[in-house]
This record gives sequence, C-alpha cells and structure tokens, in this order.
Amino acid sequence: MRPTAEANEFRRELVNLLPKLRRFAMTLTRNGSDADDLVQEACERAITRSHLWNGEGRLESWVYAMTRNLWVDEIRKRKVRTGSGTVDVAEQDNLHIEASADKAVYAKQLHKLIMTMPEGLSSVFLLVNVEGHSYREAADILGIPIGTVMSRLSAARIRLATMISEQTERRA
Amino acid sequence: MESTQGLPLEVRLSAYLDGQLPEAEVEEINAILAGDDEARVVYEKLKLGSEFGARAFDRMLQDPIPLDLVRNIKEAGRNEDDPSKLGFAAVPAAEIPANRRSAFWPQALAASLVIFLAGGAAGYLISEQKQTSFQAASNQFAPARTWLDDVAEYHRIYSRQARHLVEVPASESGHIVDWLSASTGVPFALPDLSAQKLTFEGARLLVAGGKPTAQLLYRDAENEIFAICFLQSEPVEGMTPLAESMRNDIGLVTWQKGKASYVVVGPSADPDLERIAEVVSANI
Repeated sequence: MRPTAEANEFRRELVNLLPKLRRFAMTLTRNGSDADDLVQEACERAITRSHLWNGEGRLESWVYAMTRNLWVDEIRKRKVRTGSGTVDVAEQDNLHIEASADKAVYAKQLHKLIMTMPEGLSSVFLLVNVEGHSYREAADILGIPIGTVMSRLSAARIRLATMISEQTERRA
Repeated sequence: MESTQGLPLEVRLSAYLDGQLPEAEVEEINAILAGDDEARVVYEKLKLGSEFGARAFDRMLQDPIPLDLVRNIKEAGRNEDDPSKLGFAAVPAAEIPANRRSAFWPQALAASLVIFLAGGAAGYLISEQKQTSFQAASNQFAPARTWLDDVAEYHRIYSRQARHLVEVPASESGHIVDWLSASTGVPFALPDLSAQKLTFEGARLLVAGGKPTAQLLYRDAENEIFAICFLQSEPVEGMTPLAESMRNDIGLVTWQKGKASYVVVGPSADPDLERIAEVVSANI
C-alpha cells in the first residue's frame, strides 16, 4: 500500500483530472450517468493500481486507457446480459454514422451535438485534436491501429464542419 | 511517421493539418493544395471542423462535476471491509436500464442547464445574422462566464496569497459586517465555523458578474483556504437547494436566499464542502 501522503497526492491528481476524464468518458458512453459511473469505476481501479503508475508520461493517458478498457468490458457484459447494448465502435471494421434523431435539440446544446458523433470519431478527435495526444498515443489508449486513428480523425473533422455549416445555413 | 500514400486525400490532408505527414510527402500535398480547388475546399473543411470541435469540447470542461464523484474518489479503497461498490458495480446487472440516471445527475444537469442558459447558449447558437464564411461561423462559439467563474478565479489567486490573503483582517469583524453589508446591499452575520475547524481570517470586496461581491475567508488546520461569497441577485421565495459544482481544482456549493446568491468555495478535493455550506446557509 502506498504511503498516505503519496496516496493522497495521487487521489488529488485524479480529482484534478476529473473534468477531462468525464469528457473522455462522455465520448465513449454518450450518456451522462454512464459516463459518471465509468469515471468512478476507472478512478477506483486507478487508485487500487496506483502502485503500477511509474509517474512517466501523462497520468491521463494511463487512466484513459483503463477507462476505455472498462467501457469495452461493460459493453460486452451488457450484450451478454440483454443481448443488446451500445455497439462498440472501436470493434467495428466500418463505421456507420447515424443521422441525428433530433437536430432541433442539439442545435441548442453543445453536448447534444458532440454526443451525436459516433464514439469512435469523438474519442479520437478529443484525444488528438483537442488534447494534443500523438496518433500513436491515441491508438494505444483506444486500442486501435494508427491508420484507424487517422481515418477517424479526418471523418470527425469533416462531420463537425458539416454540422456547423448546416447550422449556419439553417440560420441564414 | 509512416507513408500515407494510398490513403484517401482527406485523411492525408488531415495528417498534413496536424504536421504528421512524412517530410517527403509534405511538398506533394503543398503542390496538390496549390493546384486543386477541390482539395483546398476539403482542407478548409478539415480546418473548420478542427477549430469548431475544439471549442465545443473545451466548453465541456466547464460542466459542473458532481462532488459525490469527488468524494467517492477520495474515499475509494480506504475501507476494504466496506461492501459498497462504486460505478457500474453498484447496480445489479439485471437492474441496469438502457438510460439509468444516477441520483446526482438531475441536480448536476440542472446546474449545468442554469449555467448554460445563463450565457452558454449565446456561445453556441449561430447568430441570426447571415454568415457566409466558415471562420465567421466558428468564431461565435465563445465560452460563457458567470459570477461563479469570477469567484473561482479570485479564489485560485487569493488563496495562494500567504501574506496578503485578506483586505480587512478578522480583528475588524464589526467593520467587515458594516462595510460589506453596505457595499453589497446584503445584510449578513459572520458565520462561526469553528466546529468545522475553520478559522475566520478576514474579508475582501470583489467584483463578480459585474456586481459588488463579499468574500469572507477562512483557513483550516491544513492551511487550505475556504471562502463564502455573496452578492445581490433576483429575489427568490425562501431558499433554493444547495447545488454542487466544480471548476477544475475549485469546488463550489451555491444557493439563493431572498435577494442574494451565495457560494461556499474551497478545494474541489475536500469532501466536507457541502457540510460547510449547510452550516453557512443556516447561519449567515
């Protein structure tokens, strides 16, 4: 077990990471309550395994990878339990981008807009474009090849540009 | 970086945008952009999506973080005999509906919506004026600010002031009450938080959300600084429930009572913030 002061410092770092962790979880779950549960479970696991964290690199990358793995496990469990569940885009060969169910709603809320992006696109976009992870880091966190990171990043950018253009045209 | 030859043009342009193309391919893409209008349109689209998406995701960082989450992280794993579980494990498998809502989510969502409606929408919604360029459209996604953002930033700065924490010291308590009551238009009594092991250090007058705002500062045994801030606001009947939120390392518990809005500010990692706010709201 870690010394108390060190353990407390680790917890404090996790707490400071919460806004970013929660945002990352949202790109996986696209559901607020699932995202909070996922973050909670990932943090609990990070704390129990904190002795494995060597302090090199970015703590968030380590916790992100844990978060993503937990989500994949959770999706698998839900599929087994109910025969359904959110399709894990990270495991799909081809992405299918669904049209928004209610554009009037997401036009008023940024979250809705982001949440309409498929998990595979929004996670890659967040990691590379927003948080500055390298293609390799993003690939490692998400457990996908670099080529897939590149294609999803490009698709995410095109999709976001299309969203803003559509909104602009509607308002014009 | 490996060769991107053979990949679709938009993927290569996207890598070019990130500076991730192999050096040998950069000149090739430069030439394509110089001579191909269609490629330039795709490139501009990628840039627009990049900029717009970054702003939208940045906005998500301003969402309030439920303090329950913070508290649970602080306490996680401390008591190995505790049978209670966190996260997905807290709910039996058969009981997870497709869209389960956790107990704190309605409150967090409400707080989020209040902040959003207070100004966030202005940053998102496209102007009624016709915009003809991508750049003009994306520039409208400006982050929103509320008085709580100002309070959090003041707290971040002043709580680090070892020698100049306060403007008027605790030894002038009587003057503090007269001065801040008159300056803010909010009558109050200095809450005694000694039972919470907080020592009153003094006060400041701030400007938050464009209004005079009182800031009462307290220190705990570990030298952490806590503040109570209040200002005049639209009147409400009775008192609103306490609402918890977070700005990175700063935790906030807010409520309204009569013609004033209040907030207790402290380190986001402190699990007692809500309990302190409960005492303050009953005594101020």
